Amino acid sequence: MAQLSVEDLVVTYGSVTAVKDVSFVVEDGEFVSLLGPSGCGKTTTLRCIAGLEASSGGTIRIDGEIVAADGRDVPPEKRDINMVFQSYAVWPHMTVYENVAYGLKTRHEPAAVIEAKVSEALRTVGLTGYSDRYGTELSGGQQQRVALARAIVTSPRLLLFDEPLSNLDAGLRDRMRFELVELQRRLGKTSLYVTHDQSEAMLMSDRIILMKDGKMVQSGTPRDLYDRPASRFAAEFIGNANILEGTVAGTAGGKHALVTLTDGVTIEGRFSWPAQSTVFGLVLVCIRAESIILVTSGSKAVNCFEAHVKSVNFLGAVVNCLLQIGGVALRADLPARNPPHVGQTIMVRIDPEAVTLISEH
Amino acid sequence: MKNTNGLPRCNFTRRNLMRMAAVTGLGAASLSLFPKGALAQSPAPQPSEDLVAAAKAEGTLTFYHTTAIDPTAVWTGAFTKKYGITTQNVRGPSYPLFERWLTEERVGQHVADVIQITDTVLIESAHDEKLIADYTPASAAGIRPEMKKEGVWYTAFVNAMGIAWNSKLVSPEEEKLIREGGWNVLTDPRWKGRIATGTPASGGSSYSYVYMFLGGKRDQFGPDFLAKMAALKPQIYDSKSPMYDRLAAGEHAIVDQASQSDMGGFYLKGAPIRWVFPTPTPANLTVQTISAGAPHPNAARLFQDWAMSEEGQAAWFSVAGVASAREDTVDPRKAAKADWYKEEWYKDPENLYIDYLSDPGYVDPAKPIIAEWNQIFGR
Amino acid sequence: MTISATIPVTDNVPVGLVRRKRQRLALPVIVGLILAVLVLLPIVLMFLGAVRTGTFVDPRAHFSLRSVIAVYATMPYLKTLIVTIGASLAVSFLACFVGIALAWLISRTDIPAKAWMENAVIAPLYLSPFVGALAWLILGSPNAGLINVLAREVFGVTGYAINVMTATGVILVMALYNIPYAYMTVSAALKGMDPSMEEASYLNGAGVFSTALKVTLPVVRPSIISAFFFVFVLTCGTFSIPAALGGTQAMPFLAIDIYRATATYPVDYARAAAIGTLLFWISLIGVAFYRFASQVATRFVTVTARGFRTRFLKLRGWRIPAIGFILAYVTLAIILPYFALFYVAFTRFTSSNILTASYTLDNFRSVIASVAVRQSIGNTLLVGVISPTFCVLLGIVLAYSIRRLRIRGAGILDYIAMFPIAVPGIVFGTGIFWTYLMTPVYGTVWILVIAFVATYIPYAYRMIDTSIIQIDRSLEEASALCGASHFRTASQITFRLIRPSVLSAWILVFIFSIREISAAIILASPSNKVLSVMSWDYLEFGNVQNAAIIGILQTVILMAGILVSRFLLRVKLSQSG
Repeated sequence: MAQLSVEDLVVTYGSVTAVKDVSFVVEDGEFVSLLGPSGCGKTTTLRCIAGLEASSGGTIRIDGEIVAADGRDVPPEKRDINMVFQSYAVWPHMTVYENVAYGLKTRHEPAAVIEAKVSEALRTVGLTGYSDRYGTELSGGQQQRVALARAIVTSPRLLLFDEPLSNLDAGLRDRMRFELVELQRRLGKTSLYVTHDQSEAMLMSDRIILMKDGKMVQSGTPRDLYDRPASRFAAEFIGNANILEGTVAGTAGGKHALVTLTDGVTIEGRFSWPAQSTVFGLVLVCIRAESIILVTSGSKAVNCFEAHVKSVNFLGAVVNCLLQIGGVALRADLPARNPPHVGQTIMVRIDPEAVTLISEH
Repeated sequence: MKNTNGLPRCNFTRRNLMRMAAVTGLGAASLSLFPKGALAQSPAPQPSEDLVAAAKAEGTLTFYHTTAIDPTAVWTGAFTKKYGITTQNVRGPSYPLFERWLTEERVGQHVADVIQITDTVLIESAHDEKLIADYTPASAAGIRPEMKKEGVWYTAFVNAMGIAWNSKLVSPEEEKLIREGGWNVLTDPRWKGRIATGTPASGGSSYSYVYMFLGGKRDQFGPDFLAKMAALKPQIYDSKSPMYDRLAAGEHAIVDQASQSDMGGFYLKGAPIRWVFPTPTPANLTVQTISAGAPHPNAARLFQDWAMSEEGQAAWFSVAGVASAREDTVDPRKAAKADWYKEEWYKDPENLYIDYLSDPGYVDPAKPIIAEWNQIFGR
Repeated sequence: MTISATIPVTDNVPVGLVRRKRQRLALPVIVGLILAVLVLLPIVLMFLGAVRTGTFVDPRAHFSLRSVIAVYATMPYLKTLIVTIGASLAVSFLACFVGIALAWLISRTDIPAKAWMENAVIAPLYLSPFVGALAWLILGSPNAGLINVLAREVFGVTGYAINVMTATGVILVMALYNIPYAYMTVSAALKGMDPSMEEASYLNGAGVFSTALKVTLPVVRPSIISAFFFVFVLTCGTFSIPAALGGTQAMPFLAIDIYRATATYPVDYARAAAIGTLLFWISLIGVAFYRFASQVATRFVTVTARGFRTRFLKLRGWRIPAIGFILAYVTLAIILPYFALFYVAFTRFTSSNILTASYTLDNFRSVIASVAVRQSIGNTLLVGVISPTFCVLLGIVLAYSIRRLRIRGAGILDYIAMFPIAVPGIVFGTGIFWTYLMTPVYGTVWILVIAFVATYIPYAYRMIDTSIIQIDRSLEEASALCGASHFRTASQITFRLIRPSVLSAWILVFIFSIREISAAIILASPSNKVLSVMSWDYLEFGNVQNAAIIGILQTVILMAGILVSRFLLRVKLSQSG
């Protein structure tokens, strides 16, 4: 097991900078996700850590040992780490057994040890009995398990995952998420996981590093990122948030402030990052759809509004409604039991704690 | 048939030679036609024992030749059998083969020992460049004087060229016309679309053949004669041999440049081919020379000795039906009136045209008649 | 944010750290040198040769633009150039048209016995093109051609039914022997194409032919273009087929002019080289198109681990005409030519009448007894095994260096490796002759090996390169992350995955090497005679019988070689789907 540390990582291709000054630490046994839209540099960062991509600057350490510094790199095969690829990368010319045994054979381990470790790994991923199949004879999910078994069988210091579930269909993906997390917890491997799927990152990670345009924008526990987005990008990327523009009208005690939205609607919110607290000027108001709750009409509590229901979409457990509050349009997830009707006027409340103010444009 | 030993050499030789000599055009008078009486009795000159021993020590030689692959292999096989010296035979079209040998010698890649070619002009040019070994084989004394350049090249075979036809595609009247009409028969409009010929650029024999028409006997034939032939739109071959095959197959009814050795081969296979040698009959010398840089100089000399000897010449008769350059050797088949010699239609050439070898027009390295021929035939 | 405190970067960098850029200097130099000597030098010598009046070692030769001016600026050559280009385009068009039709029928319809059909379609590759031309001469010459004799005697045709000794005849015969190349290229693309594209077209109401024309063909268009220019370039430099079918009397052709300049008096290498340079420029344009199209084609091909479940189109009433079309092709390209060759091989002399011909086994006896033939069988086998092996090895090194190690100058190397396609074999052979004249390999079989490796490196390289491009990078990266060294990754993963195309490349170069004639003629020596040269020599001497037997012998060697190589290099990939 090992700690991974990345400092000031820079990757440039000619004049294009793909990764700028990325620094983070993954503690021993921790599961960290690199999350961001495609092209944000998360995969490049991962591939630098794997040694598949040359770094242009910065330092990468695994277990305190420098594997990349100032544009010099230890080749991937000398890093004692392993990776699960988006495309599974199961070798089509080898059987499942040969795929998994490959890394052990590379290390010239005794045949008996290889045998034992491979069966153990196959058992761990639930592929006992598939040893003699060829990779191409398996389903996508099974191939992914082969890739996983191949990655864990060498007991790497660090496990890397490059969007491993994105090629699977939805149901299987959900199941594999839980299995992966469960496996990671059981093995206690330091893991770095790249995904563009925020719910996957939220569900699996101890910590999420959010990236955009080659830079880290925010890092923290899933809860942190959800509750306290530090930027419009973070708020939009994680969770289903309504982002409105407003002007600070005054404080409401502590970190709370009153904000006037367009059309004069005033709402009380909270600055999630004290450093951003301000008493005047423009702010972004971030309201998650699930934070809007239906209250009995005539309620006078803080942040209660009369809303006109413009549309109702059934999603199963909830209905997603488009509400009109004054001149402001909001999407709200309301309980599917007794849903409002289109054209109805209802009363909703938004907890000030759930109204996040971000002083960034 | 293959064993030539003990054949009644003298008489037939004499008769044959008389005929050959009589026809050698202008030079005929100067030829010594009658073998000296002593020649028949005295044993043929043999190569020295030292040479044989040195050649055997070398054990092999490389022979660049222009004659057909299989007959040549049989011929050199007789040499190997006698001396135990193997030969590496490389067959090539005259000009490229000689050009290659020149290049090899010039850069010091000595591969060939003996070079055979149908064009004496090129050999003499190489001799000027000091690429030819001076060697006079003892046996070459028997080679007719006009068929050798002492110390440089010696004629291995003499090949007469005439007109050949496919007897299945030619009516009896037409056959009579060919046999009696001389060279002019080649310009007869009846052959339009039925005749084929070969380019003089393909090698020494075709060149010598065309030289008679455009060079040596220009007054008699000349461009007008060839223009009439060209008007018949003959199929033109870059190499004569495939032309003979197509003649046998019936693609063409009549071809010129028909050489005795090739026609004899087709005759023996049963092909419906007949041939005639109109007068004068152009003949071509296939000559051999030794490379100055020969990697096996003794084997080369011994081979040259053997090739020019009665024995070597007789061995060639067993594989091809050409005339010998020796006064004392004659094709045994002819002696026995065997094969085509027995045919009613066959007649030996009567007037061999061979004294062109030192004509300025012939030895001109630019070979201007080739360009002239090309123009006449629209090449 | 939980960005860790900065850890100072130490100056003493651990041993394992490698500066990546440095390790890639030796390799491009070595690979570049190999290519320069193998490919560039002969071409440079060709250009130099064009401005000399004689050979390089001829003491009387000097520099002169005479040949270049004559070839580039006088009417006969320019006319020949236009005819050459026109005829080659016609050959490409015909070969591609038939090749595409065959490829579509075999890979997209429910035509029966596909494996047999496919083998039959590519079978003409096993025959030396000029032996094939010889066969067609026997079959279709106007007077003595077997077909014409039959037509006259049985059907009472006057004159002739076909005549291969015309421009049309030469073009048709050349097209016939190029169809397999068009077929192989297009069929590979069709097999790699996702059939759902066609299914989508059917669902949109398009019929079979409209789908083929509007969806299938456009999708495989890059392969078609690539096949077209491949055949074009190959045809431009072919001298043996037009030479065997009546030479310039049938049709002026630059390659024949080259051959004539090297084989007839006056032997003029400068003229041959000058015509060679002219053909080089034309072919280079073709190569540029071919190179571009084959790269695009690679991008178009969808390669996935999952096999397609191809649904074959039901031909129904078209089944009989379709089978008839394939059978007609097989008859023209295989049955008739081999019939002619076997017929001739057993006759004493070529006769136009099968009934009255005199048959014999003597030809076989004499060929088998011939020491020269036996030696050349040995040489052919030696060259035939070593050349494709070296060629494929060099192709692997090149493709791996260019695609995987991304060495410096990769783009230039990629171009140079394609050059030999643009040089007619006979001119390239002359260039190789000059390059190695003063070295010990001259006159040995090794000069043929060098010549064939140099001549065919473009084919081996392109095929291997294409398959390396198609390998998902992550398959190799996974190996590195499993701890495997560069070498182990290359040997265990990359080379295993490209093995099918290495096998194809080997077989293709093997076929070429056994059949090659142009360069072999120029480089023939006592100790390196090969069968193709023997067969040409026999033909030159009018011994069509022995030439045919050697042609048949080559076919036997080719088929045996392909069977053995398939067995030795058998591909152990699982069945997909």
